[in-house]
Amino acid sequence: MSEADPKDMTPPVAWDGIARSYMPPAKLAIDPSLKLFDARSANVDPITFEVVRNALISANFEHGALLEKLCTSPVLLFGRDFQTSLLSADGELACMGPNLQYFGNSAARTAQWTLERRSANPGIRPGDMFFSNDAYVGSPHQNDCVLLAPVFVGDELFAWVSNIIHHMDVGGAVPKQNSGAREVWQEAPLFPSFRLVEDRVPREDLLAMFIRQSRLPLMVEADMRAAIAACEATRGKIEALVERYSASTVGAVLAGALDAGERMFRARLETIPDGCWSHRVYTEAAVPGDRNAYCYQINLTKRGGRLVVDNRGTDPQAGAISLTFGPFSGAVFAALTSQLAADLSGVNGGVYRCVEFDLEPGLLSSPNHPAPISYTGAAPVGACIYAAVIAVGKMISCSRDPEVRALALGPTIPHFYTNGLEFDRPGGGLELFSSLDGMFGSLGAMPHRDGVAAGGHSWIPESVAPNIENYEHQSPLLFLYRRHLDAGAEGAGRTRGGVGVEQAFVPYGVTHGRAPSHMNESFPKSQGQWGGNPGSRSFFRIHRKTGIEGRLAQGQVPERSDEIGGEVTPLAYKGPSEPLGPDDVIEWATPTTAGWGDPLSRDVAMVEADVARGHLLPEVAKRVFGVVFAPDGKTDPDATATLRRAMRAERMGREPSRDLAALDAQYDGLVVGDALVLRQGRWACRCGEDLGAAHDNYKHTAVMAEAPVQQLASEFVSDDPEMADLMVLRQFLCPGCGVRIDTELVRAGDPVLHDVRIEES
Amino acid sequence: MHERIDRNGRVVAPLDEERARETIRHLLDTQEIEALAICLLWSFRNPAHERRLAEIARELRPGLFVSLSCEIAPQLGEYERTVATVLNAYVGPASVRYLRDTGDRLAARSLASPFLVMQSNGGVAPVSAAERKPLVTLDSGPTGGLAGAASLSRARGDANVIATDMGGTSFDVGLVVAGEPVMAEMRTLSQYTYRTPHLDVRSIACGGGSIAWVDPHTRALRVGPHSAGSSPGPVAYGRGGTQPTVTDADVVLGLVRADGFLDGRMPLDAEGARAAIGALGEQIGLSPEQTAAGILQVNNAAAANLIRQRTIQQGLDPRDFTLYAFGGAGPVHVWGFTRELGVSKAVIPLGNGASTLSAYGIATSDVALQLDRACDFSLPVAMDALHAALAELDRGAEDEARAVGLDPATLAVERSCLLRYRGQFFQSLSLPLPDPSDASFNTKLREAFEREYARLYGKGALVLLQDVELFALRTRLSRALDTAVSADRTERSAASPQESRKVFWPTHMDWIETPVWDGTQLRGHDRLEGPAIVELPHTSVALAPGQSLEVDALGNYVVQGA
Repeated sequence: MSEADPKDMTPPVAWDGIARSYMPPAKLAIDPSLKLFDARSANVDPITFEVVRNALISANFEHGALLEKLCTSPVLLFGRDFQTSLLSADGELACMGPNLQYFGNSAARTAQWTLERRSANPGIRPGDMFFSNDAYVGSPHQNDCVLLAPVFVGDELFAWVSNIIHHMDVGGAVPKQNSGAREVWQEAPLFPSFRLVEDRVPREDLLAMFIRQSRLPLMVEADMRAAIAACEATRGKIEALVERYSASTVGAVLAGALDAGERMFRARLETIPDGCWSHRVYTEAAVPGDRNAYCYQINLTKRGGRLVVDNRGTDPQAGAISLTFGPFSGAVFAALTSQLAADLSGVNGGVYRCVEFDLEPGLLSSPNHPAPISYTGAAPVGACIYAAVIAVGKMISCSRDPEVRALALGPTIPHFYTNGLEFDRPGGGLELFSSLDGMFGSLGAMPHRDGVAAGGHSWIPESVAPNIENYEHQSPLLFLYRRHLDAGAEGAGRTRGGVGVEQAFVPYGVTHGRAPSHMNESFPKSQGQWGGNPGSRSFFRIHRKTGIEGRLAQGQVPERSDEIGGEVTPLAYKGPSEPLGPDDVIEWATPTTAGWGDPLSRDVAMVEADVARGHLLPEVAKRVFGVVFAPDGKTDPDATATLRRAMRAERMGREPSRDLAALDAQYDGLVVGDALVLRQGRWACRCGEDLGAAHDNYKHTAVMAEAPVQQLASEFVSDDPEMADLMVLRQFLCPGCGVRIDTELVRAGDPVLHDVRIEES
Repeated sequence: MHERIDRNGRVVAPLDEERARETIRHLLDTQEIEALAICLLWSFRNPAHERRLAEIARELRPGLFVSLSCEIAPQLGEYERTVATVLNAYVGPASVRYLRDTGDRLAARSLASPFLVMQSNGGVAPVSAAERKPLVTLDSGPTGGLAGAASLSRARGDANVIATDMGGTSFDVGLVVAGEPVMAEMRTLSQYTYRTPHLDVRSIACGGGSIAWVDPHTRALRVGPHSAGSSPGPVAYGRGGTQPTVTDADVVLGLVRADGFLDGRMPLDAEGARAAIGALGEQIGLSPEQTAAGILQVNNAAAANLIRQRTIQQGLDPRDFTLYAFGGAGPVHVWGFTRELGVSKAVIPLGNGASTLSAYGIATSDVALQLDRACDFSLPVAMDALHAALAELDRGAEDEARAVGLDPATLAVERSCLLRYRGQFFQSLSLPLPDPSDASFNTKLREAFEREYARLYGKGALVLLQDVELFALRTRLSRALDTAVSADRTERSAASPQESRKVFWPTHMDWIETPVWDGTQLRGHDRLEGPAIVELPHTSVALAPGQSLEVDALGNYVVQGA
C-alpha cells in the first residue's frame, strides 16, 4: 500500500475499517481460540466435484430467490438490491448470485474484519450471525446491511453464508440517504459487525436497536426477519451438504472452483499485452448548491496474469460523493467479472485473487473517516462502475484473441438515477417514495451490436422496474406516461447505446409534498467508447400550474413532455428540496447510454433499419450519422458518402487526405479498438496514417477538436448552460482519414489522458 | 389511449372514444391484425374502459379476436397482466381455429362424449371455455403428467408424491401434497412473466439427450445444459450425434439394450456410444464404464437437487414422499433418484404407460373452471365487503359456467384466497377460505396464514405488526369424470426372466449379471428382486441390486428399497 501524501501532516493511519476503509492484511490476525477448517489436502474425483459444485451454486442461488420472495421493500423486490454469497472460512469469496454485482466484495471484507476484531470477544460460534452496516468495514453504505452466518464443522469454522440487503431507511438526519451530508455524523448510524443471532435465535434487543433508527420500522423489521430466515435456511443447506459429502470434500470443491476461476481469468488476461489503461468520469455538485465537477479515475496495470488497480487522478474527498473500499472494489470487480468472467456462474473469487488495489488515501474513492458515504449508491458507485467498465473495455480491446475482444460490454449508465419524494399523509405521518425506474437502465453499445433500449444494467442483471400499479398501490401518485426516449445524437456510434426511459406523474390524493432528492443533470456523464457519442442527461423537471386535474377530467392525458404545459423553473442538479402540490407534474428520465465507435462509420443498412422501425427520424439520421435518405425512403449511397466525407472534414477543419479503412480489413499488427493499429513500435490509424511512437500518447499526434459538450449537437444543450460549460468534449481524429478514434468528455483544462499504454511492441 | 382510472377504480380521465376509435382504426388499417390485446391501468378494479375499447374494436372489425386484461389475468401488475393478455391474443386465433376444426372432425366421426381440453390449472374444460381464454391451455401437456400422478396417487393411497418426468431434453418435477397437486401463480415463458394459477411443474435441462462434457477449467465432468435432443440425438441413435449423452451412458452400462430400444424397432449403436464415452473418460483418466456411471451420478444429483429445492421450499422433507418416475427415460433412472434422495418407495405409474402418463392424466382430470377476483382487504377483513365480493365472484363463476354450457348446480365449489404481507409482491400463499359465516373467520384465517408462513419460512420470519393482505379470492367449480383405471390386474403371472446380461451398476461400480424380464408378461402382484431390468415397449425399468419391484392391482410398478 502506498504511503500517505507527504503534504498530509496528520500521522499515518491504517486501512483498519475505522480511520479508513478496511483492507485486509496479507495474513489475518485471528484469535487462536477460533480454529479454521483447512481443506487444502483433499482430492476429489471429477464426478463428486461436479455434484458438490452444482449443489453449492444452487444453494446460493436459492438464497437469493428466497429473499426476493420474503422481502417487502420494493428496492429488494424489483431492484434486486441485494446479494448472497458463500465465503471460505477465512472470508474469501467463493460464489455470489446474479444480483447486485458491486456488493461482491462487501461480505468478504466484513467477514475478514469480523474474524480479526470479533474472534476473541465476543467470539464466533456455531449458530451465530453477525450484522454490520459499517461502510468503512465493508458495507457499501449504511442502508446495505451485511448478515454473516458462520458454518461450523465440529468446533472448526468451515465457511460463511452471507446476504446483503438494502433497507429503504435506516435513520439519520434525512430520509434514506443524505446527499448534503458533510460528515458521517449527519447520516444514519454505522454499526460495525456485532452478533445479532445467537444459537440460531435473533437477539430481539439488538434487532430492536437497529429497527428503532428507521422511519420505516415495519418494512425494515419485515426485511430483517426475511434476511435472517433466508440466511439460516441456506446455512442449513451447506451443513447438510457437509454432512453428506464430508467437510474435506466440500472444502476441496470450494477451493478447486476458485482455482479454476483464477486459471480461466489469468488465461484471458494472458491474451492481452502488458500495459496500463485508464479512464475518468465526472460527477457534479458534491453537495446541493455546489457548482463544481469532480473526477473519479481508475487505472489498471496489467502484468502477466495480475492486475493492479489504483485511483490516482481522482479528486480529493469532498462533500457527500465519496465511496469506501467495499463498494469501490466491488465496482471494479463488477466491471471485470461481467466482461471477462461472466461464464463463471458467480464463482468469482478466483478473479478477485488476481487483483490487487493500490489506493492513494483521501480521495473520493478512498476517503478518510468521517467522510459521509450514504450517497454512494446514487452517483459515486455508478460512476466508478462506468469508469471501470470503460477502462476494462480499453484493456480488452487490446487482446490478441478476437473472442476476448468481443467480451467488452461497452458503456454503462454512469450513475444510478432515482428521485426521492415525500408526502404528508392526510391523517398525519409521511409517505416516502423512491423511484426504481432507474432499473430500466439501458445497455450500452457493444463492439458487435447495438445496446438495448431500457435493457437494465449489466451490474444487476436480475433487476426489474416496478409496475406503475405497484407504485400507485403504495404511494400517492398518478402516472401520465412512461415511454422510451427518442433516439438522437445521444448514444450514437458505429453501434449505438440503448435508449432510456422518460415518464411523468402527479401527486395524487395528497395536498403537500416535497422532492428532497432529485438529479437534474447539467451535463452528460458518460463518454462513448472508442469514439462513440456521449449518452444523454438524466433530467428531473417540475411543471407547475398545469391545471392537470381539470384537463384529465376532460379526457386529456399528456403523452409527451411538450404536452404537459405549465411553468417549468430550471432545477439544480441536486436539491434544495422542492415543494410539491397536486397541480404539479413531475417529469424525469433515466438516460440513454453512450455509443461505441465513430457515428460516421455506422453501417448504412443499420441506420436504414432504425428509420424503418420508427426508432430514428430521417433528418436525425442525416444530421448525426451522415446518412442521406431519398424521397422513396431508401438511402442514397453517393450522397451519403459525400456528406460523411464533408462531415469528417468539417470536424477536423481540413479535407481528409486518406480514405477510411474497411472495417473488416486485416492487419499484421495489434488492432486496438475501432481505429488503431500497433505495429513495429508505432501507433497507426487503420487507414495507414502514422500516429507516433508506441510509448507516446497517440492523442498528441491525432487532430484534437475541443469544444463545450453542449456544442456537439442540439440534444446536449443543457438547462444549466453555465454548469454544462464546465465540460468539454475532445474528439481525437485521425489526421489522415478523419475518423474519430476516441473522445474525452472532461472538465475544461484537465490534461489529455494517456489512457492506453502498452508495454510490449 | 386517452383515459385514466385510479387505484380505487375511479375514473380520473374519461375514455376519449373518438380518439380511441381513430387509433384502433389506424392500427387495423395499417397493420395485419389478427388479434388485439388491450391492457389498461387498474382495469381489474374497473373494467369499463377496456370493455368499451373492445366494443369499438369489434364494431370496426366484427369477429376480431380481442383479449382483455380484466378477463384474462385480473390482478395487480400491468406488466404481468399485459404479458398474459398478449400471450392470450397471440395464441388465440390459431387455437380457436384448431379447436373448432378438431371439434368438427371429431363430431364428423361421431364422437359421443363432449370434446374437452386440458388447462394448465389441472382441469379439463369444454372447448368453448378454451376458446374464450386460450391462455389456460398453454403448456398444459406437462401438467397432464402431474395430474395423472395425482389421480393415481389418490387411487393408490400415496398422500405425498414427487412426480418426475424425464424425457429426451428435460426433467420436470411437480408435487402432490395430501392428494392435491401443488399449484403456483407466477409463470415465466421465455423471458415473459405472468400470473396464472397453474400446476407447478418445473424443469431443468437434464434429460436423456443431455450432453456430457469436461469443464476445461475445473476438469470436472459436467452434464447439460446442452442437449442433443432427438436429432441428431445421442451417439447411439446413429443419426450423426457425436457428443456423448445420458442415453449413451445407459447403453454403455447395459441399462438399455442396444437391440431392445423401443421394442427393438430402433437398433442402437452401442459401439459408437462406448467410443464417445471412452474418449470423454480419457480426458479425466476414467474408464468408459466409470465415465458412464459418473454421467448418471451427475445427472441424478442435478435431478435430485431440483426435487430437494421443490420439496424443501414447501417446507417438506423429500423422504416423506413416494417418487413417481415417468416419461421415456424416467424408469431407467429411478434407482438413482431414490438413492440420491433417500426415498424408500418409487412408483412407475402404469408400467409401460409411464411413457405416456401425461395423456392419462389429461384423460382423468376433472372438468374444472377457475375464476379469480382481485381485492384489497387487510386482515381482519371487513365481513360486509367480503360477502359482497364473494357474491360477485359466485355470480361471475356461474355466468362463466353457463356460458360454456355447464350447469352450475352440477359443479362442486371450492373457494380459496391468496394472502401475503402487505408490500410483498412475488409472494402468495393460497389457503382455503374459512366459512365466511363463521364468527371466527378472521381469527382462523390469520392463524392459518401464520401457521403456513412459519412452516415455510420459520417462526423468525413472522412479522407481527405488519398487515396481512388478502389480495385475491378464487373459486374453482369442478366435476369429476369417471375415467380413472380400475383394478383389474389381480392375477399373478408365471413370468420368469427371459435372459440375463451383464450390467455395470453405478451402485457397485461393477459388472453384475442381471436378469432381464419382459414387462408385457407381468401381472398384478408379481414381484421380482433386483438387480433386474424390465423391458417394456416404450421404456425400461432398471432395478438396482437390493431393490424389489411389485406390480400393484392397477398395473403400477412399485419399487422398494434404496
